[in-house]
Amino acid sequence: MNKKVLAAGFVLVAPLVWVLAESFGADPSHIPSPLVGKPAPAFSLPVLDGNGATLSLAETRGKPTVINFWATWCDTCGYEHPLLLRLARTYEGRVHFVGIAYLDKEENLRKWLSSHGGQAFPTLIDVGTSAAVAYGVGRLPESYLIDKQGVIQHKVFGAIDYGDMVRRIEEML
Amino acid sequence: MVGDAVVLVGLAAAAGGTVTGFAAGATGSLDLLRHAQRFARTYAVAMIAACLVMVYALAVHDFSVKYVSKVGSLSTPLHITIVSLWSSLEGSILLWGAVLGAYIAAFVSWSRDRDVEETPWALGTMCLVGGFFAYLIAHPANPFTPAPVPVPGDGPGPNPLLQNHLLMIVHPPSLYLGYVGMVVPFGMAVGSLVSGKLGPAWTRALRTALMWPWLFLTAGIVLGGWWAYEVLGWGGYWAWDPVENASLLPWLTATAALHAAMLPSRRGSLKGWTVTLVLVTFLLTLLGTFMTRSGVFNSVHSFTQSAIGPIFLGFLGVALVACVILLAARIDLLSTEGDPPALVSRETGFLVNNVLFVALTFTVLLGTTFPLVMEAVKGVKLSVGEPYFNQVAIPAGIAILFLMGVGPALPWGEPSPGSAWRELRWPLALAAVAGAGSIAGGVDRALSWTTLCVVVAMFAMAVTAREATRPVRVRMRENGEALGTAAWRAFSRGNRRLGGYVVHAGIVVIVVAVAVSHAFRVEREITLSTGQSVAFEEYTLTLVGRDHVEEPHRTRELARVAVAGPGGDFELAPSLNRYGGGMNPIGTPDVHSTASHDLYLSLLSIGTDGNTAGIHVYRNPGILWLWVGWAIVSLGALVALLPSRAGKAAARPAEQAAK
Repeated sequence: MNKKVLAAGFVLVAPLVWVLAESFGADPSHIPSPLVGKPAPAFSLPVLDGNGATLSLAETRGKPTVINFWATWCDTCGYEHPLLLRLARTYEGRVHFVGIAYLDKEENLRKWLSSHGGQAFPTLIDVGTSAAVAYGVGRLPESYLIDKQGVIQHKVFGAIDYGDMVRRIEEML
Repeated sequence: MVGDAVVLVGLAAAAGGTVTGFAAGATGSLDLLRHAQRFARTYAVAMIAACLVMVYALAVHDFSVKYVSKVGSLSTPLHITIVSLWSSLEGSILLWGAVLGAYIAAFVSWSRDRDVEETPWALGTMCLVGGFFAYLIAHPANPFTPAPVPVPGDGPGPNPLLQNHLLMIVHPPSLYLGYVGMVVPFGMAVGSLVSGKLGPAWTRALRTALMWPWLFLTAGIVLGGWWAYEVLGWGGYWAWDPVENASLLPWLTATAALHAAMLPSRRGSLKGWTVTLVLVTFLLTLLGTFMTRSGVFNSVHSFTQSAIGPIFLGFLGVALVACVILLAARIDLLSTEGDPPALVSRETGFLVNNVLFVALTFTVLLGTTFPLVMEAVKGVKLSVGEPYFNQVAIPAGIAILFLMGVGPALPWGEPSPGSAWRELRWPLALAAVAGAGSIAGGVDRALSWTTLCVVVAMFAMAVTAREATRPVRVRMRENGEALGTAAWRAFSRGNRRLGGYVVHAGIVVIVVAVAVSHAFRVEREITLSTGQSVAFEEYTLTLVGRDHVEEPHRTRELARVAVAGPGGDFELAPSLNRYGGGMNPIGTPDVHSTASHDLYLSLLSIGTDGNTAGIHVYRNPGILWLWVGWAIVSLGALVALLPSRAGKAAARPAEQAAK
């Protein structure tokens, strides 16, 4: 056994493996949201198939609210949708769920929703992407957990994790 | 169902090949080796069949297969549908497995009549790697998983970037052929280490086994740059993106290994070093795959967070540790007697070449992983930009170019200083004249990196041309042969040598094109209204109008720009393309190429009234020569790979001795 080669090899290899393992699982595009801990930006947006009705953030006050930014052209949103449906049904009446469709067409949304298990909560149309800009949406999907007082408690990048969401919602109830 | 079954057959065959291969190595049993070869061939057939099953599912739009429902779409044309095989993680790993199968099968047929001690270990190692990929396909990255019910009627189609240019059809497979092919030299190097032997025939075969994937890796890198240039619209072809670096790293070490492997066949020295470089090359391909596929880096290339990441990291870790232990345990068996080479000799040229390549590899690896280190240690996000890489890559590149001239000019062994000077003086004089000429001619005012690069390139080219034609001149002078006869005989007896020099010539062309295109590029952002003209360098650009084109899989907004210039009038139409849904538009620049420069138009925006267009205009000198240089490199590599009469003659006695 050539001890020099062994030592040199491990000196080179160990840090590399450590760094890769350490950065693994970290999302490279993850930037902490400055909005966490601050009041959620207000919005008032038309509801999909709501016959012209709008929904504003103020109307959700009093109960925890989950806002989910999504679009039909986002792959991960399709993966996430069943989990959101399950959550919404579990917390029906206790937590508001609001979907905000980003850069999408109404007919695409209808088609997509009907082929992905339907809706369990209102979908809003983000006219002029004003809500997405106010919330600083970087990449879809993104979800915001807002407490009873209207303060953002948490931001989820990418698809939600069911167990994680249950834990965070329970904390806010 | 069929796909799953075939993959499982492949997995079983790889396991069988690994066990019987290693057992054959340990016992020296020829029967076991025959079994291992049969297993390896079964693996190849199974993996290629699995790939074809998926191609069929894609072609008939079988959306009950999850992968097809993810990347397929009724509206994409057939060739894009087939290409979508490698547009996403699972499919690309499937292609990976098939390519690996083909390589292993090629090694088996090559090794059939060469029952040397290294063979069974090499084959066992290749099957082990093959088994790992078959496992990925069978379980965590299984592309044959059924789609969730109800089966969708249509899919989103592959990644838009993949649909935007024909080069995307060839760039990923070339890279795969390069990456995956490194498994064969890796297996052979492991075989050498375990058996403690690296005979002349095995070394020659190792070089050939390195040369093929090197050829594809080179193509993959250049085609990737070409694609970026033609599609991404920022006017460049290389950005030191982590994933570009990931493909460059194994290329650097493979290039070093190709050179190092020439020494053992000459002098028997550097065996351990050559083998180490081959192992490192393979490990870097694994690292590259991990970097590309794990989502650790933010890049156009990364597939989002995938399940195979941790498994792949585990495999990489085990492979790294295993290679270190194997090297430490066996390298002394390969290290050789012999005096260190003379200071001024071709051997020293090779050594310095290797040191430079390895230093460059370290620099690029460090720059690529540094952001990860900073984030892990300090939680800071940063990126290492072009200046860092250029600072090291430019001087190192020029030094390598210089060696490309010095090395081949120097004789083997111990030349006298006088003879070395005689070999070098004419090329040096020619380079000095070129340098003085370019400064006097006002091409470049001062002695800049660019001038230095051109000077050194002239020197390297002069030596390359002289050395490439030397056997022809010697034949004409000493045997009195006619030019044609001498050239043909020199070619057929020394094609490896000639091929090597042609590769050198191609590299010189590429390096000069890179230097010139960087130094003398001119760019400007302009906004034009319909009918308005603007002067840019030697051209006048006029916005003629815009077009809206609906195609089945995309809609395109084109700005039509009339160009008047010294070479006549023509029209360029850069466009913004949208693919299904609301995804951000992707630009396709339009390029007018000439031998001296490219006029490159990239559409930034079309005004809401439809009458104005924002356009980024570039004048990129020398770009065409990048692709020409690559063609020369590929030609050279192919010439070197042709079976040579000299090689065959030398191989025969060595094989008999091995038997």
